[in-house]
Amino acid sequence: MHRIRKLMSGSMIAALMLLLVGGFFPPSGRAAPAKAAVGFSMPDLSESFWISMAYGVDKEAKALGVQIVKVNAGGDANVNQQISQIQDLIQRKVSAIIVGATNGAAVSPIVDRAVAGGIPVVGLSSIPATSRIVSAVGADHYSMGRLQAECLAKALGSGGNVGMMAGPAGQSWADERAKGFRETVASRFSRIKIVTESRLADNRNSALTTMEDWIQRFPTLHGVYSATDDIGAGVVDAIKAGGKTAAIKVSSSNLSPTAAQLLQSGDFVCVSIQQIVLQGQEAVKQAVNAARKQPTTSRVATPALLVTKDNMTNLDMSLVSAPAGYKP
Amino acid sequence: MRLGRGVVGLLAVLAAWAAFSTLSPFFLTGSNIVNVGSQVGPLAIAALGEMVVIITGGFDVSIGAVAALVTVVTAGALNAVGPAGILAAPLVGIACGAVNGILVSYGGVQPIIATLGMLSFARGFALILSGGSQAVMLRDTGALAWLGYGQLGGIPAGLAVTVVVILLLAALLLGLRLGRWFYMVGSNRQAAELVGVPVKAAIAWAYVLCGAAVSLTALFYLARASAGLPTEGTGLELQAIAAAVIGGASLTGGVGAPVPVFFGALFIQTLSNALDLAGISPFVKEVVLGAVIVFAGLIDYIIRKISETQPVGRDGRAPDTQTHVG
Repeated sequence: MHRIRKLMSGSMIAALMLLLVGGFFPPSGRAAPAKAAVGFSMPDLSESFWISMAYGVDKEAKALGVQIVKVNAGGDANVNQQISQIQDLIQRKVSAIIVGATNGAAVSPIVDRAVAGGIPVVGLSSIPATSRIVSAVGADHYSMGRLQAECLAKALGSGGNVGMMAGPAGQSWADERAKGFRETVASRFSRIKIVTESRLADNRNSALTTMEDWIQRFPTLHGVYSATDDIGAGVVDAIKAGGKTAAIKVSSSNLSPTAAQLLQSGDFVCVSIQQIVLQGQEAVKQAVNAARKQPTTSRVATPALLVTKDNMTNLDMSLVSAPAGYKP
Repeated sequence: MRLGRGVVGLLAVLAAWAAFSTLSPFFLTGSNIVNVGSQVGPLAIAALGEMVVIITGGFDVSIGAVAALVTVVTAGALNAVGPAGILAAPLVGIACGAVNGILVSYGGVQPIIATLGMLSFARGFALILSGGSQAVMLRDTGALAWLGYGQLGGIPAGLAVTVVVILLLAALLLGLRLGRWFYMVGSNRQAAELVGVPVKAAIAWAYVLCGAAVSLTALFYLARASAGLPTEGTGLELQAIAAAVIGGASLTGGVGAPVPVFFGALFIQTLSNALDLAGISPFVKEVVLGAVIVFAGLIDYIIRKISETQPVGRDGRAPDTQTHVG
C-alpha cells in the first residue's frame, strides 16, 4: 500500500510536470519544422551592446529569410555555459554559428569542434581565438582612434599638448583605437604633441584621479584622448573640479546616454562610435554565405562614425543601436 | 522513502524528455543523448558532493568559487610540471573542503558563514593567481581532453565518470560507518552524540568529500575550455543545491541518496539543453528554467505532506538511524 501510494504520487507529479513543460510552448513551436537555421551564441544579453548586436542579427535574418537560434551565456564569466550552448547548437544541426565569445581563448576548443563537424563559425566582436573561423566581424577600432585625432586637431586649431587615456591594457580594441589616434597625429598633425599616456585608468574613477594628477603635472595640457566614454567622463569630472573647462578639450568613443549628455553640454568635443547593429547584420551575411558554401570575407570591419553636438540630433542611429522597443 | 523519491526523480526526467521530444525534432536523437551525457558531469558531481553536506544538515555555497580556484591552480601546475600537475586539483579541492569542515564542525561557525567566507576567499585568490580575470591557457590539454569531449565505449566521459562517482558514493553511504554517521548526524544530532557517533569528525568529513567532488567538477571545466577560468562557476552552488533537492535530499538533513540526486542534475541539464534546441528567446528560457526548477522543488514538499498523512508515521529518516539508536 505504502509503495503503491508513492508510485501514484510520483506519476501524478510527472504528469503535472509534463503539462507544465508542454503548456509553456504554443502548438506552432512544438511542430517546428527541421528547417536550416543559424545559431547565435552571445556572451551577455544584459549589456545593451549585445542587445544591439542581436537586433542587427534578427533584422538581417528576417531580410534573408533565415531562422536564428539564439543562446545567451548570461555573462562573460560563464565560459562553461557557453561551451555547452555551442554543443547544443551543434546538436540542433544549425547550418552555421555566430559566436561572440565570453572568452576568446577558452571557447576556441569547442569552436574547433564545430568546424571539424562541418559547421562554419563566424566570430562577432569578441572573436574566438582560432584560425578556423570563416570570418571575423567587428568594428574598425583603428578608425575610431583616427576620427578622434581629426576632431581633436580641429578643436585645438593651432595645436598643443595632448594626453592619452588609452584604455585597459591587453585589450585589442583599446590597442587599435590608441594606434589609430597616435599614427594619425604623427602623420597629419605635427603641431599636436602627445605628452603622456595612461593604460591604468580603465574606469571613470581611476580616470578621474589620473586626470587630476595630469592637471598638476602638465599645466599646459590642451586636449585628452579617451578610449571610452566612461573614461572620458572621469576626465571631464577632473577638468571641471580643477576649473580647466575652457582650457582642455576632450574627445572620446562610444555613445552611452552619459556621453550624449556630455556632447550636448560641450564637455566632449566629439565621440567616435561603432555601428553595432551593422556588425550583427554583417555576421549573418557571412554566416549564410558560409552555410551556402559561397565566398566569405575573413575580416569585416564596419566603418566608424563621428558624432558631434551638431550632427547628433539628425544622426541615423538605425545601424548603431537597437530601437527602444526591441526584445531579443 | 528514499526509493520513493528516486522514482519521482526518474519520472520527472522521463516526463521532461517526453515533452521535449515533441518540442524539438533534434532532442530525442542518439547524438543529443550523448551530448547531454557529456554535459551533465560537472553539475551532477557537484550536486553529489553538495548532497553529502546536505545529509549532515549543512550546505556549502563555496563550491562554484572553489571550482574556479581549482581550475586556475591546476592549469598553472600542469603548465609548470606537466601531467603530475593534475594532483593539484584534488589537493586544492580537499584543502578548501577541509577548512570549511573544520570551521563548521570544530569551530562552530554556521555553514552559510563559513562557506560564504570560503566563496569570497577562493574567488579572490583565483583572480589574484590569474592576474585579473584572464584565463590561464593550458599549453597542452593532453589526456584531459578525453574528460571534456571523449567517450568510453560509446558512453560520454562525463556520464561514465559520474556513474563511477555514484557507485563509490553509494558504497560509502550504505556500506561504511562514516556514511551511516552522516545520516544520523543530519537527522538527530543529539541522538547521534548519545550513541557515540563522532559528530564533529563526521561533519568535517562531509565537507572534505564535497571538496573532493568539486575538484572533479573543476577538472571537467578545465578539460572543456583548455583553460583555468577564475570567473567560472558563478551560481554553481545554487544549481547543485536545486539538483540535490529535486533529487529528494532534504534541506533539514538526514535524507538523500546518490541516484535520485543524479536524476535531479540530469533534469536541470536536460531543461537547459532542450530550451537551447528549441530556439526560443534566451530571456524566456531563463523564466522557464526558473519556473520548472521551482515546480520540481515543490515535489519535496508534496512528498513530505503525503508521507506525513500516512499511518506508518515518520519514515523520512534513514533506516540505519532507528537500528543504531534502538
